[in-house]
Amino acid sequence: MALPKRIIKETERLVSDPVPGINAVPHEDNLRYFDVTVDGPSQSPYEGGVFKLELFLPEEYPMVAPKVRFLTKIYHPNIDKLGRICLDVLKTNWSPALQIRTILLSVQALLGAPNPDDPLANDVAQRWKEDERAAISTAREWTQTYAKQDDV
Amino acid sequence: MEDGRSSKPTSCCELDIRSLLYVSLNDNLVCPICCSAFVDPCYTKCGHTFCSVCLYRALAQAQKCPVDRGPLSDDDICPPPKILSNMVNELLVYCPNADKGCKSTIQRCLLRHHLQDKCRYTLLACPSDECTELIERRFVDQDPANCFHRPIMCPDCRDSVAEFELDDHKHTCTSRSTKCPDCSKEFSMADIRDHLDSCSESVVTCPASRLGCRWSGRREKLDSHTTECVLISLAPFLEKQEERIANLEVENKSLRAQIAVGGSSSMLDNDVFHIFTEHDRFRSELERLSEQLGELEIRQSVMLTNQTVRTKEEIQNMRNAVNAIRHQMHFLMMERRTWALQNLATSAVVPPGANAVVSASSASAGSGASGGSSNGREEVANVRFMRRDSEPYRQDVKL
Repeated sequence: MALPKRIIKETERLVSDPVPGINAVPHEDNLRYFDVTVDGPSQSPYEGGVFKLELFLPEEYPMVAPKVRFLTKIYHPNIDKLGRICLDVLKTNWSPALQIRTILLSVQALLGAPNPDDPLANDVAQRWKEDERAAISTAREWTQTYAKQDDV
Repeated sequence: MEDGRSSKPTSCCELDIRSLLYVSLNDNLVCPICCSAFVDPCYTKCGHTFCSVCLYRALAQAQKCPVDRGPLSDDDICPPPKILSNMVNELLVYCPNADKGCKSTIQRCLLRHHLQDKCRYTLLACPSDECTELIERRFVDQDPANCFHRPIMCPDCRDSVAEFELDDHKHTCTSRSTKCPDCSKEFSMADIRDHLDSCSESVVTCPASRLGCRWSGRREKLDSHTTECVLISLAPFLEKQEERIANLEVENKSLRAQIAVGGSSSMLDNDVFHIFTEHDRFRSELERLSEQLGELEIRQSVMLTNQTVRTKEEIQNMRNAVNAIRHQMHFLMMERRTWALQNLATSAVVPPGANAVVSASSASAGSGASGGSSNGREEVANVRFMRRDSEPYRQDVKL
C-alpha cells in the first residue's frame, strides 16, 4: 500500500523542523520504520545520555498508535528489560491527532517524570519506592554506561 | 490507470484530494488526523473540526474526540459553518499534472473540471479505434483522429518511436544532425553544444562587457580585442574594488542595524545615556512631587472646609446664645421697669433707710443740678436700690 500523505508530511516536518533533543530518521527501505534518538532530559538521572529507540508505524496508523521501543538499556520503572514502554498515549490514550513528534516528546517527558506507581519493570519500581536515592543513582550509572553519545 | 487499458475509459483522473499540493495553506484549515486541508469537513459538539472520513474512522476505533479525548458519538457531529467549506473548497492547488508540464493553479473545487475538460496533460483514450493506449489531451487536440502510438521511424537514427514521442526524441536523438547557425556546418545533436561554445564564426561579446565594454564580434577576432581592451586589463582591479565595496556594504548594513537596535553601544553615547537616565529620574521625581503637592492641596482644602463649617456652626450657636441673652435682658429690663414703676407708685410708703439715702443723694447733687432733673435722679436711686436688693453682697456694682 502506498505511503499515506500524512506519514510523508510528518517525516518532512521531522527533518525540516526537528524537535530539540529528538532525532527521528526513517529507514530507506521501509519508510514506516524510524531510527530514533532521544536526549535524556536535563535535571533527570538520564541527563547527558542519548537513548536509541525504534519506532514503527503500523498499517492502520494514525488510527492506532505507533510502536515504540527503547533499544538502549535504561533503568526506569516504566520501561522494562526489553525496552517496552508503559505510557498511556501509546496504549489506551492514543488519539489520531497525536503525531510521531508528540509521542517522542511524551517519551522524553516520561524520562523526566518516572511513575513507580504504574510500573512495568516491577523490580525497578519497587526499588524506586523503597530507596529513591539509590534507584536514581543506579539510573545515572546506567546512563553513563549504556547511553553515552560515543556508543550510539 | 490499469483499468484504463482494459475498459478504454474516456478520461483518467482518479483524484486523490489529500495528495494535492497547495499554493499556500493556513494551519487552521488542516485536519489534525490526516494533516491535509479539510476534505468535506465536519464539526464536533466540543468545537473541533475534522475531515468527515477521518473522524468517522477515528470514532470506529474509540468513541472520543481525537483532540480533547472527551466522549463523542456519531450524534455529536454536525456539518461545519458554510464559510469553512467555502474556504477549503476555494484553496488554490497545483494541477496534479504539474510534473508533466501543466502550470495551472486552480481552486480545489474546480480541479475535477480542469482535469476532465481542460488540462492538456490529462490522459485520454487514444482516438484510434484499434488502439487501447492512453494519450495526453494536447496530442488528441492536434489531430483527433490519429493514433499517436503508431510507431514511426526516426529519420536520423532509424529507431522506431511512437509518434507522440517524436518531438521529445528529436531533442535527444544522437544521430540527428543539425546546422550551426553561424558557420553553417553540419553537426550531430551530441556535438552541436560543444561546437557552439567554440565556433569561430559565432558572434561573441567582450568578456568585460559586464564592466561596460560594448565590443562584440566574431570569436576569431576576440583574441586581438582582448589584447587592446582597456577594461579587460582593468578587470582584476575593478573586481577587487567591487569586492571591497560589497564587503563595506555588508559592514555598513550591520553597523546600521546595530545603531537601530542598540543605539547606546558606542562610547560617545555613554554620557548622553547617563544624562538621559538622570533626566528621566528627575522627571519621575518631579511627577512624584507634583502628585504629592496636589494631594496635600486637596487635603488642605478639605480640612479648611471642615474647619469653616465648624466655625460657622459655632458662630451660629453663639449668635443664637447672644440673641437668647438679649431676649432675656430685654425681658428683665421690662420686668425691672414695671417693677420700678410700681415702686414709684408706692413711694409714699418708703422705708426709712431708703428715704435717708434718697434725701442724701438729692442733697449732694442738688447744688449743680436744676430742679427738672430731680425726677430722673430719683429713678437712678431707685435702680441702685433695687440692685442692691438683688445682689446685697456686691456693693460696688454699677450699670
